[in-house]
Amino acid sequence: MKKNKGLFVLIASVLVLTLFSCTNSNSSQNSSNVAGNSAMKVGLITDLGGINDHSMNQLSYEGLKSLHEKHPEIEISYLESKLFSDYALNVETYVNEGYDLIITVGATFIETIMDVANEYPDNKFAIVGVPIPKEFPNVSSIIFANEESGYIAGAAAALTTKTNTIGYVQGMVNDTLNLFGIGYVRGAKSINDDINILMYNANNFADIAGGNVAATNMIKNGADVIYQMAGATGIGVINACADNDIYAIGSDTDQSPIAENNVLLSALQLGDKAVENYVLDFKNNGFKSGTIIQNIANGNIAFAYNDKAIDATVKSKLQKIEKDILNKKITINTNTKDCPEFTLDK
Amino acid sequence: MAHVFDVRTAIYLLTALAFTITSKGGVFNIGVEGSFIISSIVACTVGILFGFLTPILLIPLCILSGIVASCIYNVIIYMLKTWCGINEIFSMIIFNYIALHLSNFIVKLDMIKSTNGADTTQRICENAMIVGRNRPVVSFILATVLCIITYLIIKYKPIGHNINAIKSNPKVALLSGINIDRTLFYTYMMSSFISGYAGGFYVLSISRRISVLSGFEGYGFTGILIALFADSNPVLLIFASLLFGAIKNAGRGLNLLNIPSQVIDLIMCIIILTSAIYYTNKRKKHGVH
Repeated sequence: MKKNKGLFVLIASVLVLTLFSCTNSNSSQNSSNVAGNSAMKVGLITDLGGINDHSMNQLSYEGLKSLHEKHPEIEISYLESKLFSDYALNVETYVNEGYDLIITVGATFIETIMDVANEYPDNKFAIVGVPIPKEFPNVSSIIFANEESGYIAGAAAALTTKTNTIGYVQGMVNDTLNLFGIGYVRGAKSINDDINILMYNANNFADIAGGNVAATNMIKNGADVIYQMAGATGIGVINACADNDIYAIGSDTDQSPIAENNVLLSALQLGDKAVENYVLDFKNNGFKSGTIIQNIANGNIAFAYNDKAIDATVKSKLQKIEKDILNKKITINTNTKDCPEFTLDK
Repeated sequence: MAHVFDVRTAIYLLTALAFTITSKGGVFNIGVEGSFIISSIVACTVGILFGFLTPILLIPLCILSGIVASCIYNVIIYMLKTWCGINEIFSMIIFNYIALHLSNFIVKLDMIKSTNGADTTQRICENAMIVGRNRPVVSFILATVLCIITYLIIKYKPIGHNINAIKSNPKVALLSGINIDRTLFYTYMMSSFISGYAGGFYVLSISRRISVLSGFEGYGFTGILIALFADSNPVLLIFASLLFGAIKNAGRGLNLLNIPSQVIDLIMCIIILTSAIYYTNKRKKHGVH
């Protein structure tokens, strides 16, 4: 019996190893064929969220896919990072396969990008969602003006609330995400300076039950509009709002299907369009380093109003605020130090 | 080969070995994951803060500090078991989460936090890095040697006999004069030594920094899987970890061919399922349930 077990494990190991060495050699052959056609190759590396995260990873890849449909000569592929130590290995893989542009997603990638930008000066990198603190000639960052999303959400909440108390749930505390919260505070205060804002950091993007509990607590404390910027945790927030029949504000995608009568609006971030336009620009005009800001002005931050829930006068007021931001009549101060109401980072 | 064989294969082997040692004594050591996390964050902190030392001093210091941290972590679990009678599986699962969130807390300390706004620590100093192109092979050989040593200890040393006796029948072991608490303590320490070594080595040789974790990365859990697959035999572990390391890393190659890397999980599930059926059938034939 002992002997058989050993044999079993050995044979299984050897078989599968052979299998993978086969796939491996195939892949390198394929790629050399492609290189012969001199097609442009664009690769996307996800962060730990994976390719189906219903957020920036997925949106970026959808942007690439729709670009590939319009321009079949652009080769696209993606690599998923399952572990933190995959980041550098994935970049290395794409560099070895001769990719023209390597797109990475998320704040955890910053350090890795700064390392590889020095290591491979001939390759071009882009990072979606976060700014790069140092200028590199071969790195560009596609960032969103999150404070604009937050500002409209805050204004909507302040215009709708009857209890003068509004809530906000954030998925994690970091500089990029804090912009949503600061924008939210500024937007709400611009409507009503005495408004009471409840804040909660879920510290988790995947905790539906936790979001539900947080929102229920806020509702107990009098909140009647809650804005969520917390991924799947936010689904719990919206569910709690629907259960207690108060209003919620969604983010990233149109979340009104979750609770038709309760979601006022969703602050969309059109990452797919942003990435598509960026790669198209790269194809036509060559690489540009530095920061590329996506905002209301260039249409990649947009708002999906839910007419079933939102009041028509509120909607028209919000659209006016949108225009004011677009025309730079409203500028949003994003300095945390000037914003004592934003308490999550303390 | 570079696609499928890297340092992580050795890491999986080490965590699997850490699990195997305790399972020889009848303890299902699900806390490997936690002690791996703790030792890696401690080694990373030392690697950042003591950059002024020379590599010859710094690398052993990092790994040693990781081992010490892992030992302390396991001593707490051990004390909870022997002094308070808390089931070790229970406390290990909770301690996994404590380790995860402690690690996230330490990552965000100003002293070691990234200065660029990333959710990671700084990179460890140049002096602390284990570099070299052949480090996957060297690390794997080192881990293999550790495996064989463990196998020899368990097979030929008195402590090995004691551990086996405790596993097969604790009451008889007690009556025949084996100090159960002490023997278990030794197995815990051996296990935490190896998982601590794995954590330290992981930071110095591949990850170089620790990020904020939203969930477990699974180095320990994969180790448990490998150990169960190899039926807790230290020598079979070597082959099993080669297999699982290759499967885990092969996702990248599949992605490049536009095949979803979830196929990897499927393959792993099929292997585990078939091996489970195989082992169960064997046991039934021999009348053991």
